[in-house]
Amino acid sequence: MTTERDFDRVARAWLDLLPDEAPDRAVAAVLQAVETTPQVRRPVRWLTWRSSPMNRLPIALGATAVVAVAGALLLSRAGTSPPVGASASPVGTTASPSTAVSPSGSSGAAGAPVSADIQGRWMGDHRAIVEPNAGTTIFFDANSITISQANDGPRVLLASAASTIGAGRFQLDSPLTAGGCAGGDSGTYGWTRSSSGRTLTITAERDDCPARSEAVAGTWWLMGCTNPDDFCLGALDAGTYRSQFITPRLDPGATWSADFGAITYTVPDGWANDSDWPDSLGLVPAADLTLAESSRTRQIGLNTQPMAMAQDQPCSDKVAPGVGRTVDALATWIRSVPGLVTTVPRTITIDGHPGKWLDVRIDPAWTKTCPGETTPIVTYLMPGTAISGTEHERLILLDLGDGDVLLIVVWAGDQATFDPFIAAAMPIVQSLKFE
Amino acid sequence: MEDLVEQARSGDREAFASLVAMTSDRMYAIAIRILRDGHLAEDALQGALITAWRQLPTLRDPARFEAWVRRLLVHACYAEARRRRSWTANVRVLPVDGPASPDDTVSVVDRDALDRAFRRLSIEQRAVFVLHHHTGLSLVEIAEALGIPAGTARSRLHYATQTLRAAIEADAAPVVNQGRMA
Repeated sequence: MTTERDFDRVARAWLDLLPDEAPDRAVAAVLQAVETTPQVRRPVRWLTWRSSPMNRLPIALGATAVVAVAGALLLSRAGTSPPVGASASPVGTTASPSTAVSPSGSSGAAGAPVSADIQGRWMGDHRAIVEPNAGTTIFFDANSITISQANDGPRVLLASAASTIGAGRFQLDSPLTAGGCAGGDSGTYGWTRSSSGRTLTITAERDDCPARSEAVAGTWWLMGCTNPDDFCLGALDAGTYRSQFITPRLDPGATWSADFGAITYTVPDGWANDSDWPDSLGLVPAADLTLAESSRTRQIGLNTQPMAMAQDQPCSDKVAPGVGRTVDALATWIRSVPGLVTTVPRTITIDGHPGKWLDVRIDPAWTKTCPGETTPIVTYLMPGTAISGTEHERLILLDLGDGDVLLIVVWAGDQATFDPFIAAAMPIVQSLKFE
Repeated sequence: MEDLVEQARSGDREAFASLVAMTSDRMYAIAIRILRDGHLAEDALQGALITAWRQLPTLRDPARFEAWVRRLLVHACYAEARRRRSWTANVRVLPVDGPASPDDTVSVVDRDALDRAFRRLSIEQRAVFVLHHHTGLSLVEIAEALGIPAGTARSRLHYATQTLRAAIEADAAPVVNQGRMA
């Protein structure tokens, strides 16, 4: 083992000792997830080179890498496999207990299925059971609960058999020692649901397993994203919410780690969270949720760390050389981008952070577009900002300090939609708070 | 493959399934060698391929599909490794299936030494080592694949190689000495 050739040969042989074939279950998980995962579709809102969201990708398969505790539970309960997935967001104070509706409990006999009113996926604050800075999800089916980290879909951290023991009450039992609970640990809980059905409040009555009690009790928000694999809340009750994934200070290309609650936002009735990614977050009128993503024409979009996009060729995915990444440099540069008509940048302050805003539309004389498109398009900020056709945008560049810039884009499909949308959207923009 | 990429880029899931069938073994082989953990490798593979599906319309050159997926995969491996390191309480220790008949080229002692030394490498160094020695990429190709300067790729490979060589030689030395004493 003295020559380089010897070492290369041994190293290659050693590497060859590991398997070369992907397990069928892994491939099946990918294909199943793809069935319900939309592609980044429109040239506008391009999501090029966004930081990898794999940490929160759901592998919506019971057959995937579910840890032993879940498997044992499922075997013991002879139930169906829980769809293990992650979800997005919130936290905060939404529906008050006074708006809670009476749960539709069953006869109260032990072993009765969990109420259909609370079956499904819910998202919650950080709990001790998950990684620091991460959010938590809980999934109820008729016979069990599973708790996961919001950005860690395949892994079940805690699983328990569940049964209704009375109106608004359920019991949890551990089938084996796992997740901080001992086999045979039992606990009882009460629950109420907001009138909208979007907020679930669970109260621990008693539990032999303190770790479970800490993980289960508290407020949960329904994971109501149109696409359940998109990890967002969907329609929101009026209230204040915290982001699950967006990380405004994440450097481009840096490895993402969970940053629950990096941004807080407050919405009135009628709004929805339609996306929450490490580098972006979206809020839309709830009425638009029924539209296909490509058909929506209004959104408040938050994009992290914007950079000027090269203009030497249509729809370049290169960074424009020589343009700074400060608020002032970007605002000044945007005004020089061919094909854009802009207003004069004005100052704005959000949560104490200084910024500038300007309105942007496409020059009616502009005809250039992207390959495969027919509508005039100007791409100008990375990641993911472009304007096409009759769209109008309000760009807000916010200086978060330490060289970090957040881009807020309030956009609508045309001028007539833009004006009233701006009036509705700006109070939400002004409600933003940054941790 | 380029035709399939074009179709998948337009939303054709069957075309993407064909691409997955064509590339998943090669990608998994890279992931499990970098991570040395079958389940983490599965998670990385799944994350990379689902990200590839989602972001496929942003891929400008269909001919670069596999290189692009490889890059997504390596970044997914970074994330898996860091998650594992930062949260050891939830690490799953599961066996990795090896081949039925081990290659005699590498002794049990060398395997053990390499295993231990490899785990001491950073995930970035591991990636370069695997892409070079297993996938057969040149340093320039690795640099391009990972989006790092060629010098950085060279440095990482050099460090990894030195570490692994030293581990084998250090493990070999006591055996020789013991033999002489006997």
